[in-house]
Amino acid sequence: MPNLRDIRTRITSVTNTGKITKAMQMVSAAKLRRAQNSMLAARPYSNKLFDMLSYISSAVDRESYPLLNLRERKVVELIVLTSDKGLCGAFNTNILKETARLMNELKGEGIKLSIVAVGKKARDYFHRFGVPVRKTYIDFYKNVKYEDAQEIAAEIIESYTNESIDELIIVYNEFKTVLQQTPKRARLLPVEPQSTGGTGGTGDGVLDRFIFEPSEAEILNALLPKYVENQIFRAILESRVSEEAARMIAMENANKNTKELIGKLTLQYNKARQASITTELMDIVGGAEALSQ
Amino acid sequence: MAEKLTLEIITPEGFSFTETVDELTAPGTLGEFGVLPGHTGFMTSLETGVITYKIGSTSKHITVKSAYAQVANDHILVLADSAEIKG
Repeated sequence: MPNLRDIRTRITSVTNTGKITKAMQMVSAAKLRRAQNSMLAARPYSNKLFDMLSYISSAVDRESYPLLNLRERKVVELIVLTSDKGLCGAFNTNILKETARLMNELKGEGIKLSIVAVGKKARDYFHRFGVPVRKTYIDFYKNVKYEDAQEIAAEIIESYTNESIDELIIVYNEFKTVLQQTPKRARLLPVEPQSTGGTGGTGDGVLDRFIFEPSEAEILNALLPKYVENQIFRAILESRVSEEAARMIAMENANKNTKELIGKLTLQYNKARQASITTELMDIVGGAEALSQ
Repeated sequence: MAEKLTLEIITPEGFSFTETVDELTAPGTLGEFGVLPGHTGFMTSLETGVITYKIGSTSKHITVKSAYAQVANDHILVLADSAEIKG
């Protein structure tokens, strides 16, 4: 039976942990709301851009645009989005597991990999397993700017155009609900615009109604990289929302656990206290009896 | 003319702006162009610069960076990397 003081110390320490997790939960909740807002704010742009793109590309010849062109996969670039900080449940584990699975699949097909790690957790993971990483981006989650996504995209698009990579896949946590985030892989390059779902019309008739200035090829060539950077930006925002949601839930659970633990410890403490009082009483009664005989 | 144009500007960081305007001038890559109601559908890229639009006789300005404009059915959609209303 642990003595009273030990239990008391534990209760204090658990209570303190509880305070921290509670604070973290509230911070995450606030950050989640902010992240969600910026994700929603980015949506109209993405949708319109996608519309515009599908609209134009539905009528052009895929072959003549390197970013639309399918070619044999020899080198695949992977962007892995994880968080910089831990304490967010299975958030990073899920992503890294999914990445490992994907890497195995690709290796099985004899495809070479080139990896871009975003977030400290991805960096550490690849470092630990001795996987060479082409580029690491850390410490920009606090304030995600569009320029950050552009920076990542610009470089990748360049290596895609000069054919040092043949495909780009991004692995990130898709935000479904606050309670559910699922790892998702999305192929960003070559771009695959859906010919349906555009602002209207498919086929060759579309372009006749539009005047392009400069030529449609030039516009499309400029829009395609835009689209890629936008998709990366969106994935980053989504990953950030997922991270905060995961952290909030993890902290909520931690909170629940500390409460439970405190309850148990208090019970134990009271039992121990009562036991010690009983023993003391017995001692006194025993002593008194011995004296009276 | 009773007809008007709808100008819509969106950026990825959430700046979004919609206004009904009478006339618009924008810095296209191949030179500045103007749009009046009834313009034919067209699509163009814009230089970093100032979009000027007129409501009645007052003109207002918006600075855009690396943008694309689509004009269709008197609706002007501008997708810009960033945009800012000039005072």
